[in-house]
Formats: sequence, C-alpha cells, structure tokens
Amino acid sequence: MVEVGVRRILVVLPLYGGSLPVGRSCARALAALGHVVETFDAPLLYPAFQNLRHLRISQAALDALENGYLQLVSQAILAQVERFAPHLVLAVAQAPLSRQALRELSRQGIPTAMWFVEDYAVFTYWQAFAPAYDFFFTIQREPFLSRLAAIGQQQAWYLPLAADPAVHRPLELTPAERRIYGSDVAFVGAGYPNRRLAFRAFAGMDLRIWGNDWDGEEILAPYLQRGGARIDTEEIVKIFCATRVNLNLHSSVRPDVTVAGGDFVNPRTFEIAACGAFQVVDQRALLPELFAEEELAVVDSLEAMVAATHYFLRHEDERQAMAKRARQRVLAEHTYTRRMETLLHLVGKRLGWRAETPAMGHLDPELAAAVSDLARRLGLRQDASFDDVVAAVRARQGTLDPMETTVLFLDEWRRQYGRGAPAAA
Amino acid sequence: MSGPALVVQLARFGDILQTVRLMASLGPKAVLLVDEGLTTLARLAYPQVQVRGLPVHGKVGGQWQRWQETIAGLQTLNPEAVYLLNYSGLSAALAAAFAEDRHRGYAVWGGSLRVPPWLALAIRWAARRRQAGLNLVDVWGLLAPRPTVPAAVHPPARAQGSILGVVLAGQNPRRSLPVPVLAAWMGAALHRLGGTTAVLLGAPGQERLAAELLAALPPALARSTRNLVGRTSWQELWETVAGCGLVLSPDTGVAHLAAHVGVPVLGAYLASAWVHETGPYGEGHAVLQTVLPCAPCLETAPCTTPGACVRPLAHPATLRWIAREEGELPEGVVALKSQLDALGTWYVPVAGEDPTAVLRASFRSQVAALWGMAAPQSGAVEWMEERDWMLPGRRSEEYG
Repeated sequence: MVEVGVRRILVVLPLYGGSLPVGRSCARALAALGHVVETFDAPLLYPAFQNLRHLRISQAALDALENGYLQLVSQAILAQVERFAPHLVLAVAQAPLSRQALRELSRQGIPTAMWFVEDYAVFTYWQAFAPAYDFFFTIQREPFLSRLAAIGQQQAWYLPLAADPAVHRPLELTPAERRIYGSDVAFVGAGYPNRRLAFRAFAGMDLRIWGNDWDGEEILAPYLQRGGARIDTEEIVKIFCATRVNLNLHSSVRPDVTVAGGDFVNPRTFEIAACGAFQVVDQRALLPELFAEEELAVVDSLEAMVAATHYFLRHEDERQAMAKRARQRVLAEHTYTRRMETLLHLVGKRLGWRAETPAMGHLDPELAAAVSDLARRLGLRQDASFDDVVAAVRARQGTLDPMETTVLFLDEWRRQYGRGAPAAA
Repeated sequence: MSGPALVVQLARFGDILQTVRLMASLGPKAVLLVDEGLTTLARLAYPQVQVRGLPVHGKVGGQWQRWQETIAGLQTLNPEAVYLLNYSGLSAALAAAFAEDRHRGYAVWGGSLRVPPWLALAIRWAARRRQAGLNLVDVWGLLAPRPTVPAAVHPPARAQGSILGVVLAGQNPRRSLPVPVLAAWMGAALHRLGGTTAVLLGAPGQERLAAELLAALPPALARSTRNLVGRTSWQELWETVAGCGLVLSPDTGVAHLAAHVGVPVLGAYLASAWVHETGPYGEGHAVLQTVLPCAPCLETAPCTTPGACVRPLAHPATLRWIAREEGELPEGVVALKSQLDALGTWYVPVAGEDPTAVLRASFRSQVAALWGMAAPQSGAVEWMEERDWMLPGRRSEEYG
C-alpha cells in the first residue's frame, strides 16, 4: 500500500436512497483511517426538494424548479469545497454533483472520485457522468470497465461493496426482541419481481418479510411485516441476528428468472455476514473471490435455496460455524475501512500522495505534544500536521473542549500575526 | 443551571467603551472577556461586572496555555448566552467552546461564522453610511434581551472644571487634525470652555507630535498646557479625563471615555470618521463633521482629494463657531449635537448644511419601527429589502 499521508476528504452524500448509508460508511471509514473528513450532507436539502412536487404548478414548471434546485445543491457543494479545501472529493452513486460542478472542480485542480455502487446495466447514467470524474470505482468488472474506458474513463477500478462492523455487528437480543424480530426464515428488502415469485416457495414456513415495495403481492401478504413499511438500519441488524436463515436473493426486474445469476455482490451479503448471522445467498459471478464455500451457503437455483434453508434449519451447529467464518472474513477483508484504504491507495499512487514528516516542528515542544495528543484523541494518523489537526477540529460537531478551542484560536491567531509568531514557535 | 451572560469583546480601547449599553442592559452578573492588555480599562469602565483577560493582541510567547486555561474557566461558567461582538476568526474560534444555541451577536453555525439578522441589517446599512446613522453603542446594545433606555447608559455630559483635555490623534493620522489646525482649535475650545489650561493626552509613540503641538501653541498657552502624552496608566488617564471640563478629540477611545464619565466632548470628525456611527454616546456632546461629497471615505482607499476635508475645519468661521457657537459654517462642515431618541444617541445638525439630515431622520424612523418604537416615515421602507420581510428574524415582532 502507498503511504498516502493525512488527507482532507469531502464525501458527497446522495440526497436519499440506498447509496446514502454507503456514503456515511465511507466517511466513517476514512475518519477511522486517520484522515480529515467532512461530508456534504445532501439529505438536509432533500425535504425542500421533495416538497416542490406538492406545489400546485405545471409539470414543466416543476421540472424547471427541480433542475434549478439541483444546480443550487451543486453550488452548495462547491462552497463547502472552497472552505474545506479537500485533497479529494469522493462521491457515491446518485451524489447531486452536476457535470458543470465537476468541471469547475477540475478547473480548480481538485481531484474527484465516484464509487458507483449501482448495477451499470440498470442505472445507465454513468455514461454521462463517468468521464467527468478523475477516478471511477465500480462494483462490477467486465465488461463495465472496458465500457468506461471506451467513453474516456481510463482510471476505473473494481471495488466491491462491504460492511461497517460498527453498524452491522452481532447483537445480544432480549427474549422480547427475539419474539418481535425472530423467525426461522426472513428476508429484508424491496419486493422486486424475482423475489415475489421466489419467496412463494417458502409460504407455509415460519417466514417473515420485511421492507417496502411489496404492494399487490397476495400470496406473501400474510408474511409481510408492518404493512411493508421501511425498516431502519438498527432494526434490520436485529432482524438479521434474530433470524435462523436469512434469505439473500439479489434483485432482478425479470419476474421469469428467480435466481438471476448476475455479477456484483449486494451490500446485504456483507452486512448479514458482519452481524454473525446466517444467510442463504444466490450465486453471483463475483462472489467466489469474496467468500469461500464454507463461509456462505451459496445456491444457484430456487430449488437449491429452499433445500438449503430446510437443511440448515435442521443443522444449527453448521449454521453457526458458517456464520462465524463469514463474519471473520468480512472483518478481515470486507470492511469499508479496507475499501477506502484500497481506494486511497489507487488514487494516491496516481496523484503522487506521500506521507509527510509531521509538521509540528515549528511549535514549541509542549505545544507540539499537546497537539499530538489531541490528534490522537481525534483519531488522526501519527503523521498529522498542525493544519490537519485544525481541519479535523473544524470538522467536529458540537461544543469543543478547551484544547480543541485553543488549537482553533491559535490557528486564527497565526493568520493574524504571522505563522512565525512566538505563541506557535 | 445556566450561568451569566458572557460578552466577548476582543477589539480595542474604544470598542470596549462602546459596549456600554450592552453591558448596562445585561447587568452586574455579566462577564466581560477582553484582550488582556485592556482588562484594567475594562474594570474601570465596568466596575460591577467580572472582567476576564485573554492575551489576544501582541506577540507574546507561550500564550496557548493561558488560552486553554481561560477557555476552560469560561466553560465552567456555563454562560446562558455568549455575545460575540467581533466579526473575526479569533471570535469564531472562541465561540466553538460554547453551544451554538447560546451564541448572540455573531454566531458560529456548522463551523462557520454567521451574521444574524440584526447585525446583517446594520452591516448592510453601513454600505450607505452617508445617509444612515446608527450608533455602534446602540447596534450592540440592542442585542440584549431588554436593552437599557439610552438615558441610563451614560451620565449627562457636564463640565466638571475648566481644564481642556486634548487628544492628539487617533490611530489613523488621516482622521486627525494637523498640528497647526489642532493648535487653533485648542484656543477656540478654551474660549468655549472659559478656561486657560489644557492637558495633552495620547498614546506612547505620539511624543513627537505633542512636542510639535506645544511648539505651535502661543507661548502662554504652551506654558499652561500639561503634556501627559505616553505617560499615563489607564487609571491616570481615567482620572485625568474625568477631571476635564471638555475633551477635544478626533474619533478616539478617549472621546468615548470622556462620554463614559460624563465629560462633554468636542469632536473633530473627518475623513473616514462618521459621527453618526461612532460619535460619543449620550447627551451633551458637540461634533464638527466634514460632509464633503467624498465623506465618509474608506480608510483603506487612497485619498483622491488630500487636505480637502481639513480646509473647512481650519476655516476662521469654524473656529468662531467652536468658540462662541455663532455665525455660519463654511461649506463642507456641519456642527452637530448629540440627542437621545427611542433608539439611542443620534446627532442633530445645529449649524452648517447637512446634506443627508433628512434621509437620516427617515432611516432612523424605519429602524425604530423595526424595534416597535415608532412608526416609519413615508419612504423609509426603502431601507429594507424584500427578504427582510420574508425570512425569520427580520420582522418587527422578532426585534422587540
């Protein structure tokens, strides 16, 4: 791995949606790696955007207003970039960063990267955006990478999804929670056509289906929990942990193919595993390089999925051993921290990033020691400079403690009186 | 349980004294934080409140530990409100030690310094400062939840004796009278006061200027003039000013000190100085303000008409008015006297042609209306913008 030093990274979150938790996990992981991280919190701006459609206006007017609003969001991102001066702007799929804004960042010499955590065959907007980013990361290999190269994006790499062990972890559930969330078999997720068809095969079992977009599914209706309401992450973790066999069937819009056999591996695979929970998952082209046979129960047909479910319901020891191995694999190789290490390594190598000698030498020894101690408390790397510590303090939320405030004050004082002034020297 | 209000005033001498209405409004439980070099002055000005010092200005080594200790001490107070009066990075850094919902005046939200509606209006109006007129003492004083009435801020200015205090110059020489003009003003001011003795006041570094002035004075006046320039402690300066019958000054901290202790000020406001913003607070002060088309100028911009604003101040008619308040004033200068209205202190022309007096009255009526103190004059609404009526924190009911 290239030693990239301490970097200021702005993570641009999407306004909403499935890649939002991925973006938040990226930000946490980058901070855990000791970098100075800010997020552009686009979801703060989403309610106003959503409410535009409640206005009594024509569709043409709404389109114009929505486009204008998205431009405003891009402007807000540029404003945060101006203040934070990041070494890298990292966007996750659906980030509201317009091509015009990307061009502006390029003009300013600020590198941009996109982690496109979507199926390229379904969500084709990458064709418009990929060339505008300096670096592009995908959850699929070929032919996607070649197609990216063909439209001018040469710096593209495969970067599979992952789990955040701080969020997806084994939980000790109370008996009451086991009653609420537990069952023999469960699925958490949206009611895509292939899932609607496939899960009928589990009707009659102790089955629970959690999640939205199951409207109109009559056979599975008795198994649908909470009327198809969206389930928050903390409850999903409880469901994974309380369920004996978690079904993990990758989505497909084709109702005629229950087990689609696609390539990318969904986040649920890593998340169930990180919880130390057991899953039966459908085969994916890219799954074997991520998990071994003894770590996941992988099936290539609906019949096999049903059979595996029955088998593992009867074999608790095997189930638990397999789940334990899967969790160990995730902790070792498939965390967002590891993914961000990989991403920064690839980006840093091309940008010539290097670790630098800690720039505390200009401070008096006592101050340098106090600032280094603060850097440790903030989770920064050992080679963090005074300016890195200042940036990390500025990125903190809430009320600062006296030493944090002192560092900010010193930074402002040096701006006013010069960097060689004695308080810092 | 929340503690006292904390007022953070990290600016200079004059600014500390111009915080007077806010301090009076917050009462004796408030805590005032100032630059360490100004704590004695602040304690003289506000003997009832707790004053704390922070080494802010000046390059002294090893300050960071003092900062840390002071910040920790301020956090221990658990202030119910933190008044940030300076739009500066230093002020913003300190603010971060306190919860955002306790910030008053300037604020720090999301890690960035923010200008609240009232101060945003004041800043915007300052862009039309020639027509506007809101004393800085009132701008800050009106941040308090229940501002003290203007008459209770300072004692009425009355001559305590017949000594004339003379302040040589402000920080910026452009805002000060040249030595020959100041010498002539001294004579006129002594006549006005009915005195014969003067005391020169000034900061260290102004000794040469004092010598030049003494040399320019008539010998008898020079002999009866005591030169304290660069020689007074804060306590001595305070006592000296308090013993004066009149203080002749450009726009300086000493002028505010005189107003603070109830000594009348005779002000010379020229160049970038604008009496309607920083005139001595309270009743009983007189100021000669230059009102050339270029006034008030920007200190940072080079002067395109050097000497133009001194000429009317050096005119014999101006000196006659200073001495006896008689006759007309030359073009380009206006004599004004301080008055109180519901908003605070303002300066009303008593001689000379003030080209913006009518607009200023209209402006003040609009500001008073915002605070629910009076009805605005016709046309005064032009001081407001559309957004002022649309966004929270800008409508009249939210000012009261």
